[in-house]
Amino acid sequence: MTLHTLKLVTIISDDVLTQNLIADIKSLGAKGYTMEVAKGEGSHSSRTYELEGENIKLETIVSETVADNILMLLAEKYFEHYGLIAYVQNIDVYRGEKFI
Amino acid sequence: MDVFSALTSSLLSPMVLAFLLGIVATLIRSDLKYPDGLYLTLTIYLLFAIGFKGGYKLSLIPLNEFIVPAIAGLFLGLLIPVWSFFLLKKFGKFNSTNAAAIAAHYGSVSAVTFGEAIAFLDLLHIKYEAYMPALLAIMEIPGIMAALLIAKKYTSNTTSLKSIVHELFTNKGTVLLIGGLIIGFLSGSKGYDQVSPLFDGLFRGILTLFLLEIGLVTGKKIRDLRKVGLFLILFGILMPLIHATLAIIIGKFIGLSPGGCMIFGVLAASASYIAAPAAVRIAIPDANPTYYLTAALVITFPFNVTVGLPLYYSIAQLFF
Repeated sequence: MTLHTLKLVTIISDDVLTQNLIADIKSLGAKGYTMEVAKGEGSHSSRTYELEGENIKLETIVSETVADNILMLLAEKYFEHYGLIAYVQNIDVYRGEKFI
Repeated sequence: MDVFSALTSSLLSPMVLAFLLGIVATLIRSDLKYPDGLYLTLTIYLLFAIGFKGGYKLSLIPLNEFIVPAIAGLFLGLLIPVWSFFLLKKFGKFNSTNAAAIAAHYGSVSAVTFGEAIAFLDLLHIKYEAYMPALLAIMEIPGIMAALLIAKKYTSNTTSLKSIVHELFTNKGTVLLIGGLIIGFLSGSKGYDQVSPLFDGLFRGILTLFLLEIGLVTGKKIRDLRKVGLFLILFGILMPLIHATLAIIIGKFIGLSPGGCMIFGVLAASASYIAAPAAVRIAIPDANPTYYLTAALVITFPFNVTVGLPLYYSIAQLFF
């Protein structure tokens, strides 16, 4: 079985944006995603108690083009006003065709 | 009942004492912490229980009794954020973004404070109108809506109206409260009898556990009081008093009972910390949560549940 080099895009954001972010990444070509609840503190605000709302960590495996498009859209729609972190890593995955 | 005995009975209720325990536990650095998801579980229970019991009570009365109070509630809900915004901006020197965010919290209502008010009146066997929980549901959204529209007008905020409306009407608080109301209303006495041991019998106990958690969070946020400034602290105490008095006068004018007037006062005085923060986080993301959460949770909520409830009841009694 061969390995494909693809991009893992990770987005950490306020959970109120969950639905919007999922719709955004799907519209740009992401085939799926993995999501978990995240806690932490940063320059925008702290999310250390449930009452303050939670953060989500949303990950998706995509091609380089889709990863670029996702980051551009995030920059345009969210970076200025929302507490949101995004980063991209190179990953080697089996069955790479599932993700592109 | 005089002010003193009302105050004692409010301060010595298990809910208020549990709230204080939460604060003390934080101050002595106890490792007490609720497990993940419990806060949300308790919230779901409380909101649904308040809606459900309200819907059941609403099914027992003719609906036309509710029209005038509903209009009065809407009217207050829409107006409170308007003057709150201008006061915060002009005298508190807050920028438009933060002023609108705080105004949204005061325009909306706190279901838990309402739950406390009901527990307070029930304990003293004071009657109130059956449609009060429905009034709570009606007053939850307009205040937030008004404040978000003000934010749109006075800031460079670009959140679409559609996404604001969607957030307001689909957030868990609204769905549980209004959903519970409808279920309680439709299922009537027969339905109520089936589930009342859970939603009525356990209500105060669960409210007590909820307030312990609120106390824990409040305790951790107490030091934020220094960051928000004296104006917001005074605003968080005086505005509820003014709003409550205004609502009690309106309540008297539209023919509410003393208990009903007091609850209407509590609704006007309370600041939301479930629906409003969620809406503000999505619609006014630049607003600083330290201001709006500290005001609603660390200043107004403790004031309302300790001194506020007996005080509003005493004010209501002055008019009867």
